[in-house]
Amino acid sequence: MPPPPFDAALVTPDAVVEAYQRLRPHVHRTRVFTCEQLDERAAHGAKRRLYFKAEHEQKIGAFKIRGAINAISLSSADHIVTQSSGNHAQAIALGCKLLGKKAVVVMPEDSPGVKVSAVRDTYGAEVRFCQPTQEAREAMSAELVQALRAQFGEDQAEEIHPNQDVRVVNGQGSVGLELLEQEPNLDAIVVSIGGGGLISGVATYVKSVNSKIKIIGAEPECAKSAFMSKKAGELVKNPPNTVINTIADSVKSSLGPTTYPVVRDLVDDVFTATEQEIEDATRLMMERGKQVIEPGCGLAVAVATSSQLYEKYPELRNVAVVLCGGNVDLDHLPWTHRKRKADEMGST
Amino acid sequence: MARHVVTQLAENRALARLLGVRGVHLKLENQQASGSFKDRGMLKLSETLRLRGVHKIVSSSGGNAGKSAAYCARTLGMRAHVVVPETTSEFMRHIIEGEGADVEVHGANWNAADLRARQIVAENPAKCGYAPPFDHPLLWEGHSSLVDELVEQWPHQEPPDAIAVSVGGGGLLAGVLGGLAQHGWDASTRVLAAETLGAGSLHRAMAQQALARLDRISSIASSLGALQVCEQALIQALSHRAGVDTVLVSDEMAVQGCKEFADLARILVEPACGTALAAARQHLAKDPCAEAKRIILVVCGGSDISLARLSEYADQAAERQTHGVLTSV
Repeated sequence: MPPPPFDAALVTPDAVVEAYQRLRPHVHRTRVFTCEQLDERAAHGAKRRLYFKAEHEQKIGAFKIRGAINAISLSSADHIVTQSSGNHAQAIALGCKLLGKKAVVVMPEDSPGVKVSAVRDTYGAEVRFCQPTQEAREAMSAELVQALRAQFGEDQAEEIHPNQDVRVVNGQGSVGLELLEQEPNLDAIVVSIGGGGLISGVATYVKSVNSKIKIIGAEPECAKSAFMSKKAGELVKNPPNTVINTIADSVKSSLGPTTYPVVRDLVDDVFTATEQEIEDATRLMMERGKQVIEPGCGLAVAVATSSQLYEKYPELRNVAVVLCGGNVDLDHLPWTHRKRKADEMGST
Repeated sequence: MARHVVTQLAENRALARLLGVRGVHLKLENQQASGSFKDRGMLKLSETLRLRGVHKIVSSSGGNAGKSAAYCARTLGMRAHVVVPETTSEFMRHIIEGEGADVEVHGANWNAADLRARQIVAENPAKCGYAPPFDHPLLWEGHSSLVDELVEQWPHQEPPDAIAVSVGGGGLLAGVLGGLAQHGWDASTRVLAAETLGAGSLHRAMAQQALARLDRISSIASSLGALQVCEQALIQALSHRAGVDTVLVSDEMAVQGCKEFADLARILVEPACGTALAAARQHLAKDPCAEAKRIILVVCGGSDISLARLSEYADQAAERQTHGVLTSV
C-alpha cells in the first residue's frame, strides 16, 4: 500500500538525496552568481554577500521541474492531473513529456498568457480553466481524477499536488543540496514561500547537513500564511474564497498539512514584503542584475535586501537567495497597470 | 483592485412586528470582510495611500477601525501598524493581530496612542500613511457606497421612511447622509442617529448647534466611544432635508437590541450595533404613524463581542434593573 502523498514525516534528508539521483539526468544544475550592486542593497551596516541560486534558468523557467520529475517517476499512474498557478503546470507538462506520460492541467482563468501557452503549446498538456480561487482549483482537479480513474483504472490516474505532495517536496529539496555543494559557507538561505514546498524541502536537507544555516522565508503581505501560522502557533491559511491581489502571482497558496509542520519546526523566520517592495526588488534584479525574474522571486530578493532581516540578524554575512522562477509576460509587466492608475489619480 | 463586500439587504418580519412597523430591512454590514462597515471607507483610503507609494498603514484604533486597517493593508499588500492604548482589551488586541497587523501598546488613553501613531507617520511620511478612525473625506466617500447599494437593493417604489444608523465618531453617518443626498433620498428619508447615553456627542452637538466635546465616555458600547463627533457629521445632520433625529438609549437597551438581533435575526453583534435597533424601537414607540412605515436598520457590525460577553452584559443589565440602579449619563 503506497504511503499517502501528504505527510510531513515522509519529507526526509535521505528522501531528498534519493530524489536528486532520480531527477538529476533531466534538470540543469543551475549556477550560483553574485552581484555587487545587490550586495550594496543588503549592506545595512555590514559587508554582506548575496549568492543567487539561478533556478529561473532551470528547465521550464522554475525549480518546480525537480519536484514534478520525482513525483511523476514514482507514480504508477499514466495520467497525471494537477492544479497550478503556472510553474507547476509547466513542470508536470514537461515532466510527463520527458517520462512518456499524459498530463491534464487545471489552471486559474487569470493565469498569465505566457504560462498557459507554455503548458499547452510547448509541452503538449491538456488544459482546463477554473475560477481563480484555491478552492475552485482543488474541486476541479478532484473531479478530473475520478473521471480518469473510472475510464482507465484506479491506479492509472493521479493528482500531483504542487506543494503538499511529499514526492514533490523531496524533489524541491535538491535545490538546497546543490546549493550547499556549490557554496558550503552560507549563514542563511532566503526562500519565497507560497505553499511551502520549496522551503520545506530545502530546510529538511540543509538543516540535516548544517543546522546553523538559517532558513528564512519570504512572503507577500497579502498572502502571508506562513508568517501568520508561525505567529499563531498553528496552521493559518490565506483567506478562503477570495482573490488575492499580489504581483507575486506564483506565491498565493497557503501552507498545508505537509509543509506547515516543516515550516514550524525547521524554518527559522518568515519576513513579509509589501507590494511596493516586491516590485522594487524585482525591477532591481532585472535592471542591475540583468536577470528576468518573476515577482514571486523578487519577493525573496526584497527580503534578502531588507533592513528588517538584518536588524534582527545582524551577524549574517553570506546569504543565499533562491531565484525560484523567471516566467514573466513581457507585455503585461505587473507594475505598468499600477503606474498608469497612479498617473490618473494625480497628486493629492 | 480590492473591493468591499456588497452586503445583503435582508427583510426581517419578526423585527417589523417587534417595532410595530410595516417593514424592517437590515443592511448587514457585519458581512464585511473585517466584520464591520469600516472596510468601505478604509479600503478607499488605503488604496489611495497605496497609489501614493505608502507601504505601511498606521492606525490608532484598538477597535473595528484598527481591525479594518489591518485587513485592508494586508489585502492591498501593505503593512499595518496599529497603536493601541493600554486600555484596549487583550481580546481586541489579539483580534487585530490575527488580522495581520503589528500591534503596539502605548499610552494610557486613545489620545496618547494617537499621538504616537502620528509620530510614526511623521518619521517616515513617504512610506507611512495615517488612517484616522472616522474623520476623513475618503472614509465618508467609501462609506457612502452603502447607500449606492441600498438604492439598488431597495425593493419598493417609494424610498424608505427612515434609516437608523449608530453614531460614534460620525463617519458612517456622514457617509450615509452624503449618499442619501447624492441619490435624491434626502427629502424622503429621515435618519435616526442612534447613540448611547454615555456617548452622546452628536446629540449634544445638535442641541447646541455647534461641535461639543464630552468630558468622558461612560458606555459599554466601546465602538461609539468618541468624545467629539466629526464636524462633517454635524454639518450634514443639520442640513439633511428630511431631518435627523438623535436618539439616546441606555446601555441596557443597547444590550437588549443585541439580544433581539440574536433571537430574531440570528446575528451576534456588539452593543454599538444593538444601539441602532434600540433607538429605532424607542423612537417608533412614540410615532403614531409607525404602522405604515418602512425602515432600514444599518447593522454596522463589529468584532468586540462574544456569546459569553453578551450573556454577561444581559445578566448585569437584569441585575441593575432589579436593584434599580440607573445608567450614568
